Amino acid sequence: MSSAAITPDPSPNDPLLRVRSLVKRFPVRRDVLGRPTSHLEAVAGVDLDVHTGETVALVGESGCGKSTLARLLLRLIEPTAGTVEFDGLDVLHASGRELRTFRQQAQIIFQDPFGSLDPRFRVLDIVSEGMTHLNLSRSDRRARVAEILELVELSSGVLDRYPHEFSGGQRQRISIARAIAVGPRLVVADEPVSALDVSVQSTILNLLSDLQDRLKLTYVFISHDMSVVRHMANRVAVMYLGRIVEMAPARDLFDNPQHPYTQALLSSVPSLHRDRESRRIRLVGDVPTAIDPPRACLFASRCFRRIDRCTESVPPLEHLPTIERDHTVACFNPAPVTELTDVS
Amino acid sequence: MHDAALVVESLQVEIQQRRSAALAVDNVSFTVGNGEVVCLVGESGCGKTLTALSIMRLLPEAAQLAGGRVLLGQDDLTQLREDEMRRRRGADVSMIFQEPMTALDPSFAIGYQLTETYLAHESGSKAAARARAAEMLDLVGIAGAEQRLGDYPHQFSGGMRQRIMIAMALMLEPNVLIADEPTTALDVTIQAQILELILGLRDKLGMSVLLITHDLGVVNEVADRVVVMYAGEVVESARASDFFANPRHPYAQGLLRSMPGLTPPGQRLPVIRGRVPDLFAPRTGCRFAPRCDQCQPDCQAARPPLERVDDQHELRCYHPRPFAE
Repeated sequence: MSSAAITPDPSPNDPLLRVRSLVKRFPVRRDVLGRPTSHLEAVAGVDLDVHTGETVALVGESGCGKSTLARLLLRLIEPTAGTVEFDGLDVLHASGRELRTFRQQAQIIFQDPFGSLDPRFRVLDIVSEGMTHLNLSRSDRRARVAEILELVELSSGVLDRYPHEFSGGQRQRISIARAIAVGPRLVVADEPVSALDVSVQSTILNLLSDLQDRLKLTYVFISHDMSVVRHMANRVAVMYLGRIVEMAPARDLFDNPQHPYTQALLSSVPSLHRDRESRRIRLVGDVPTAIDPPRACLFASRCFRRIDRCTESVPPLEHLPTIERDHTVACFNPAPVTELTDVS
Repeated sequence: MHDAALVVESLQVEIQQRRSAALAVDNVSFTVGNGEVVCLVGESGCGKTLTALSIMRLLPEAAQLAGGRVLLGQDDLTQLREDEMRRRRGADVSMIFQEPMTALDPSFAIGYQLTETYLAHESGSKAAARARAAEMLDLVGIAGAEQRLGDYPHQFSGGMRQRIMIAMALMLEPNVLIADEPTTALDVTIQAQILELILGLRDKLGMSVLLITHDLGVVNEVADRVVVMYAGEVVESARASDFFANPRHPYAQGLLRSMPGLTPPGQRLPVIRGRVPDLFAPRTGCRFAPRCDQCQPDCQAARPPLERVDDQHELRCYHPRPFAE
């Protein structure tokens, strides 16, 4: 960390990434003058801290805003409001060298190993794309890329080959190699194993864990697969329609979920453990859209614990006296699963 | 002993690539009993979808049936003339596809798409067909069914479109429903609704279901029997309860072990080494041998047959070991 652009000497307890009141609205309808009259609120006021070396998972169903949030964290898209700080740097106002340094230190891995690699480039070019500023000689560049490929368990024999020659799992290794090639501290992995077969998925998850240990990486891990999240994450944030509705250490979240949505989500996951008679919380209806959302709990329309207050104001993400200290939940009427009766 | 709704016998599907040909489905046999849910499990390229498509006789051009029989009741579907087969599709055996977004035609109202098949098969009036369509939409849980018949696919969410696909497949109350990864593109809370719907319809209509999936969690929750495929062949077939209590094929065991739910968080996941073999590469011996930890010389010499290990359990392995998680 040589750059003077980054605030020096952050206290060790400061998070690597600090997100406050982050909002992203997309205009979906406009009046005759082109002014937006209707918005989709993809991310609706998110606060999130990610500490060095940990894996924070963002989970939720399609449309919950987890991928939009990921892109906001990396400033791949600009937010409507809010702040993102990375190691003390105000990411949203950074420019020039500061921004370039940030872009090296914060990388992303995408879901689709077929769509995210340019088919016209060789593996060598793909992995070394971020190294241009190092002005390496051709042979040094090959040697450096070969080293990185070794980290992702690919042989240097693949340097001159093209993406179409590889299977899905190998392509995902190439994507990972590209992400770690520039020496990042933070890696955002957006559904990195969702497109892969089960037997390939486990090899990639192992690789991500190994790399985290060896390179001291911090992960923001986005997934809809709760068993993958349980395996990988230290902390989990559950999102519903643009808001974090519950956040807790992984174990706490899986063992003692408080938000009705988290409970329903966990009980919907097909599992190898559960026997068929076990109780399942069945949600009715589909996820509503986040277009011009009301000032209320957005889960209320599907919720089995709804009370009047839920449709009148937005429940804040708060710590409850009955649960662990770093477990927060946004619900006016939470209850542990054991106290739920007659949910169907 | 219940009667079989669908019997697949020594099915072979050949695919052509340039000048070579290979069996992508090689001697696959299984039975779906009346009212049973049978899950066909395997990873991409194992031949599970081709198996389903050959039952429906909807194979893509590059693939063709090379042998075997598909018995639906008394008839061998592979021997029917195309016009006879057309009468059976939808009426006796119906299929739902993975992508509800692409399987519905965006330019027609769903009422039209639902009634089209019905009118082609039944002599009833258009009004009767629409009434039936509304009834089926209601059955799959689409609110205000009658009003929504005039709506187009884009006006429905993904989960609703998948339910419309199911309604369409059920318009003629087929005996057998084939569902190819019907919930893979859907969110888990919606997936749970759809699976419950399929099971409920099985109970209500006495339908038999062949469910194709890669998700062993889904299999554990819905299957009566499990058929595991690897590289074009069946490697294990068993009652679901037996299978999950005691999977015997090293591939099936490896798949189960590699699922994140079985390993404590933070520990390394067990993996199946190597890769799925190339279909066009010459093969002798057990197809899983190159990746198998229990491989012995005889595994490479000759292909193990699919043999009965007990009453309802079939296995293709010379050296099975008990399952340890």
